[in-house]
Amino acid sequence: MEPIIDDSKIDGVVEFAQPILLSTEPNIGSLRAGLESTFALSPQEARDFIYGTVLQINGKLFPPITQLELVHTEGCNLACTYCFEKDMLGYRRMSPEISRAAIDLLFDYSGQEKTLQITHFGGEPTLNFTGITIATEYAEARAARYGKSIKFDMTTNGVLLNQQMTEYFADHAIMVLLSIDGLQNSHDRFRIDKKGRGTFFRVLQAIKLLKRTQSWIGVKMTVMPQNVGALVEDVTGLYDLGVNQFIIGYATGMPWCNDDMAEYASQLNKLAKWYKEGARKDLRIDEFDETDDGPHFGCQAGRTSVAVTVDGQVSPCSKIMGFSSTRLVCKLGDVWNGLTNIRNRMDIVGCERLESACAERGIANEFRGGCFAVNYGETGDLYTPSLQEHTFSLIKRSACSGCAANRCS
Amino acid sequence: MASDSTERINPNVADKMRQLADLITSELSERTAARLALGFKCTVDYACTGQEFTCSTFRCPGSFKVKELRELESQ
Repeated sequence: MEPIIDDSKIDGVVEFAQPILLSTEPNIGSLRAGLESTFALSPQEARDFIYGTVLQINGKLFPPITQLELVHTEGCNLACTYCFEKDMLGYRRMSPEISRAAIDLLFDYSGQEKTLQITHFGGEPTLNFTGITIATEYAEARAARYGKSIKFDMTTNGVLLNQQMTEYFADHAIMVLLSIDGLQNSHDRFRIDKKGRGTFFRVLQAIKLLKRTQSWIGVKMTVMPQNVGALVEDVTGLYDLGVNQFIIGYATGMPWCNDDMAEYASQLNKLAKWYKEGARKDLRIDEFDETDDGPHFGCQAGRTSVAVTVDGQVSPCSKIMGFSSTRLVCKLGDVWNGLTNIRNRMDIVGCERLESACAERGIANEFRGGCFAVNYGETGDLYTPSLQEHTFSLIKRSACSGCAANRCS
Repeated sequence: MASDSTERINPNVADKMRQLADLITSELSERTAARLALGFKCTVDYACTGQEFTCSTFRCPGSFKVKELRELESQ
């Protein structure tokens, strides 16, 4: 233990730091400089002071953080037309130091929660396979040290998967989720490589390879207006090829015309009927298993989950990060100083503005504000609801009605 | 890092950190404190076997079930 510092040396530190931490965009550089120059703290002491203080504040005001998205790379081997990360993609990779610091932050902010989750994300995360292994093994060691359990998953386009990777993922229980939009016609229309070539058959190989070590195959399907008419065929076809779980999302960040929306509704209804009547034990379609949204606005972004950029900044989620990884929308902090942007976390957890905005539009009773990132993409504000997403939520609800109950019985 | 660093923080500095945290917390906690503290809980209608991908992989609000929240808020 270090000698006790003379109290007079740090008199006034509370009054100095309080307004900075309460500001909308806290200048942490200025706070650290002041702690060092005015209060004679060492650089390490100044950092510990900030990290420890905001850790306490976050612990008192907000739920524990239990989920972490690690952006291992901003690079991607594909050039998908609709990618929500287009503005973020580049060539930077996350260093081992930053991934370790991010994992430390997860454990520090997890409070008494015993089960934590890390999502390996990108860009295309397999481009930084070494980074994935370093982060995974570090997190496993931390979990063992603190008596917690840790789960992993990863979202990948599958094109670069090889046996070494799939065996590693199986050994470390990393669940691999593939991004596939459907059968060849649908998939190859938008999920193309940088030479403009379709990637369906390469992803098909990934399904076969992955199936050897991971019996349950999940896919994230993005439905574009141009593909919407083939949705049922795409899902049933992929099921026949060995896919077990579908997470279906309409393509955001672009306008949908009424006819395409109507077709989406029609396809979703047919799909729900097929799903409900089949009662297949080896199939899950998340869209139809979800119950109602309840009264609460917002999601776990910034509440119980955070995403870390390649250079260590903390965002509520990777989709919000996708707007810019250098000047984050709703930045929450960084891995060195912790979640210092308390006002931003308050806004995204509290969701009062989102709730008010929905109420003003007369939709608060049937819509819980949608996805922050979709809102931002359409309205320029995280807390102004996307009316297109509101319409899609009604379509989904209509297709889902009765479905979950049937599955349950 | 804080888990390690707390062990090396000087007691006087730690005391100031607590003061600062308490001050800021009390100033902010008047604002819907109970609501902020609530976490989302999954309430899907089937029992997961453990092999499924969790909803958290994708972050749309529809994937997060709030039955327990509703119960808490109604209390």
